Amino acid sequence: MMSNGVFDAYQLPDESECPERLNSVNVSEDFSVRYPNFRALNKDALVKLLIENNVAIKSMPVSEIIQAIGRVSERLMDKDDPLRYEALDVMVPTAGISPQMAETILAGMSADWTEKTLTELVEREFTNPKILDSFQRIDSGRSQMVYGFTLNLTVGSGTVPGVGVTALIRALLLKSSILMKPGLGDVALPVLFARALGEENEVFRKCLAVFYWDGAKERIERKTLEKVGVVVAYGSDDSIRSIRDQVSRKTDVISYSHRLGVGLVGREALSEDKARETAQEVAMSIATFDQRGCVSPQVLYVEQGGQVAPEDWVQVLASGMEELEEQLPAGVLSQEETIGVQQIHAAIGLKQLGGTGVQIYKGTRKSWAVIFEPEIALKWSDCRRVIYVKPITDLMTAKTVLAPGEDYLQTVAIAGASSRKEDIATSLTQIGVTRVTSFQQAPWPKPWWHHDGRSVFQGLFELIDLEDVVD
Amino acid sequence: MLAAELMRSFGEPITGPWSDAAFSNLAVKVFEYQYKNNPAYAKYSKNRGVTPLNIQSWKDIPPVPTLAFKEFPIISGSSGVAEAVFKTSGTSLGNQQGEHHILSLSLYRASIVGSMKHHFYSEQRPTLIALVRDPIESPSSSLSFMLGEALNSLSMGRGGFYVGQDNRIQYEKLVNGLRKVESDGVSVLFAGTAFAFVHWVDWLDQQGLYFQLPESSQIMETGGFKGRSRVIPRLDLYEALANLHGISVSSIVSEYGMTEMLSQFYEKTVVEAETGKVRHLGYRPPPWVRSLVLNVDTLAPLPVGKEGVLCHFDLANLGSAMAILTEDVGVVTEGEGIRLVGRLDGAEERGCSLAMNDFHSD
Repeated sequence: MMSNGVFDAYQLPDESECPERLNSVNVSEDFSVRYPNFRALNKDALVKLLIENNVAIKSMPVSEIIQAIGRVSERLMDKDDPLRYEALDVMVPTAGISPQMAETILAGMSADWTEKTLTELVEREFTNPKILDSFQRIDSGRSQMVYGFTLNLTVGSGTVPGVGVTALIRALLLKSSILMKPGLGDVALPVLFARALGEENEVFRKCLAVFYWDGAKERIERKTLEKVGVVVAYGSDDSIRSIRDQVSRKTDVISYSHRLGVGLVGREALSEDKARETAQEVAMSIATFDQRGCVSPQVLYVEQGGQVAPEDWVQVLASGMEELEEQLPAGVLSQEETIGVQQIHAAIGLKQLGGTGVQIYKGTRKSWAVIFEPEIALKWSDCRRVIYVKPITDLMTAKTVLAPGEDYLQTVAIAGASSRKEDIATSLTQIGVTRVTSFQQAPWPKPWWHHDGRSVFQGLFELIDLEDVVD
Repeated sequence: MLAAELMRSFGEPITGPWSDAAFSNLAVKVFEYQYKNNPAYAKYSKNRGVTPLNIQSWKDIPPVPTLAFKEFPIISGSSGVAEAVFKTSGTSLGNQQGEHHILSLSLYRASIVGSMKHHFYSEQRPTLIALVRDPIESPSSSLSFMLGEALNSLSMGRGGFYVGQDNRIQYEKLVNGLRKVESDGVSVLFAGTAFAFVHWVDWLDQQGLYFQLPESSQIMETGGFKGRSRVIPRLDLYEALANLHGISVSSIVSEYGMTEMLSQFYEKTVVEAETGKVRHLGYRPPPWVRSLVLNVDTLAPLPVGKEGVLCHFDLANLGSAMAILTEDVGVVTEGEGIRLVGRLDGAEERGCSLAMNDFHSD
C-alpha cells in the first residue's frame, strides 16, 4: 500500500493546464483516487492540443515508438524498478485484487508489451511495418500507407487491469494521439504507463492524455467529440449505448461489450488420471482476474460418460479452487460483493434442501463457490469465483444450450475433446463464439487475437493509396 | 384462517406501528404456516436451529435471500394454485429473472390498498396517472399490478397508464392526460419509476413544456437508478419534477419496494421553512412490516443507527417467505424509518465479464 493512500489518476500533456480543483473517490477504506475536476478541465483546449501535437508522433518511426514502449514494459518487469512497485501498490486497491493476482496480471500483460512482441505484432498485422511510416509499394501501380486517426478517444470503463494499456499501445503504434478515460478498476497501469513513456521521450508528453472521470455523471460535449477520429469503448451494453448516443454519426465507435465466457470439459479430460489436472487448469482459468475477464469462464458444461462423472468431478474442481486460495488468493470483497456471496450461499443452500440435486461447495474464506446443477439451462453468477457446473450428454450439443447467450458469447475454453474440437468450434461459430481455446490459454490471449472477431487494429486507421500516375 | 386474519388487520386504519407483541404474534403464526407448508424452508430453518417449538420472536425467523426467487419458486402452500407470477427486472436471459408466485392476490390487494390509502388517499381521491405499463399488457410486473389496484380501488377508475407495450413513454398522451387534470382542477397522483421520470423531465425540457398541477397533487417516485448508465442526484430530479409540474418538492413521495416483497415503504420529503433545506424523512413501512439491519459479514443484527444489509419481515408474504434478506444497504433510524444507502463511493464496476452487467455501470 502506498504510504499516503492516494493515487493521482491523471497524466496530461505538458502544455495543457490541469485544473487546481481535484475530485477524489475512495476505492477502499484507506485508498483513494484523485482526478481533475471534470467541469474545470478545458476539454476543448485539450482536444485541440492533442490534435495539433499529433504531428510529433506522426513523424516518429514506428520502430522507435515500439522501443520506447518496450523499455517501459521492461521496467514493469524489473524487480528493482520503483515503477513496478508503484503499479502493484495501486493495482491492488483500485482493481480490488490480491497482491499475488496483481503480480500475475502485471507479468502476463507486460509480456505482451515488450519490443519483441510488439515488433512481431506489427509484422503479423501489416507484413511490412514500414507502411506505418511512409508509402510502401504493395502491388503494381500502387503504394500504400497506414494512417492512424489523428485523435483516438478510448473509454475504458469496465476493463480488467492492463486492457487500458493494450488499447493505448494500439493507438500509439498507429501514431494517433490518444485521450483515454480508464475504468476505475484499471486506472493504475494506463496512467503510470503514460507517465513512464513521457520520461522516455517528450513526444509522449505531447500526444497522450490519460485521466479518470466518472462516466455516469460527466459527459464530454458533442461538439468536442466531433473532433475525435475514432472512439474505442469498453463496458456494459448500457455504458456503450450511452457513449454512442454522445458521439455524432460521423465518428466510428469501436465497442467491446461485456462477454460471457464458457468452459466445456470433454469426457477425455475426465479419466481417473486426468481429472485432477483438468480441474486445476479449469480452476486457474476461473480464478485469474477473479473471474472478471470477458475471457473468464462463468459456466462449465461437463460431459457425461467419462470415468469421473460430472457430479463427482465438481468436488475435484472445488479442491482446485481451494488450493488457489493460497497460491492466487481472491481480492478483498467489497460490501456489495459480500452481500452477493451471502445471497448465493443462502439461496443455493435452500435450493439444495428442496431436493433439486443441486450441490454447492464453498471456500473456507467464502471467496469461491462451485455449484453443480443438473438443469442444463445457461446460467451464471454475478459473484467472483463462483462457477456453475452443468452436466451435458455430448459436447456437440453445446451449441443448443449456449444459443440463448448468443449476443454475449466470445471465448469458449475446451478440455479434452481434441479430436472433436474443430467440429465443436464450427458449430459454435453459428452462435457468436469468436474464440475457442484451452483453459490454460483462455485468460491470456495472444496480442494478435481477434477480440470479438475483430483484427487488432481494425477501424483504428485509414489506408491511404498512392497510385502511379503517368505524366 | 390466517390469511383472513391478516387481511382484517391490513384493513384497519393505520395509526402507527403495532406493538412488538402484536406483530410478533402474527409473525410467529406466519412462520409456523410457512414451516408447515414449505418443506425446503422448514429444513432450512431447522438447520439454523429455529422451529415452531422454539421460536421466541419475529427476529428469530430465518430470512430467505432475494436471490432464491431467481433460483426456484418460493411457495408456502400448494404450488399449483398461484394466481399470479410477478417477475423481477433482470437480464433478458430467461432464468436470471426472479419470480414471485402469488397464491392469494387478495392478501396482496389488502396490503396495497391499506398502505396507499394511508399515504395518498386519506383526505382526497386523486386521479392516478401511472408512468408504467398497463397491468393487462404487463401481467408480470408487480408495480403495474399495484398501480392498477390503486386505480381501480382508490382512484375509482380515474386515470390511466402512460407507458406503451414497446416500453416507451407515450409522451403526447401523457401531456393530454396532465392537461386534462390541470383544467379539471382535480388533484392527481403521478406515479412512476425514477428512471422513467428522468426521461420525462428530459423530454419536457426539450419541448419547453411545463404544468401547473392542481393543489394537493403528489408525485410518487420509485425505483432508483441501479444498473443504469445515467445517474442524476435524487434531489436534482425532485427539483426538476417540482418545477415542471408546479408542485413543491415536499409533494414528492418516494416508494421503496421489491418484487419479492408484497408490501411497500414510503418516504416523505420536507422543505424546511427557514432554511429551504430539503430533508428526506426515511422510508416507513406499514405496521405489518418490520426490518432489521444485519452485519454484512456475519448477518448478525446491528443496533439502531448502524449501516448494514436490510432484512424485511413482511406479513403480506404469507404464501412465499415473510423474512426476506435483501441486497440493499441501509440504516434503521430511531422513529424515522429506514434510510437507504445509495451507490457506494467507488462502487464502479470492475471487469468486463457479462456478470458485471448486473452491477452498476459507469
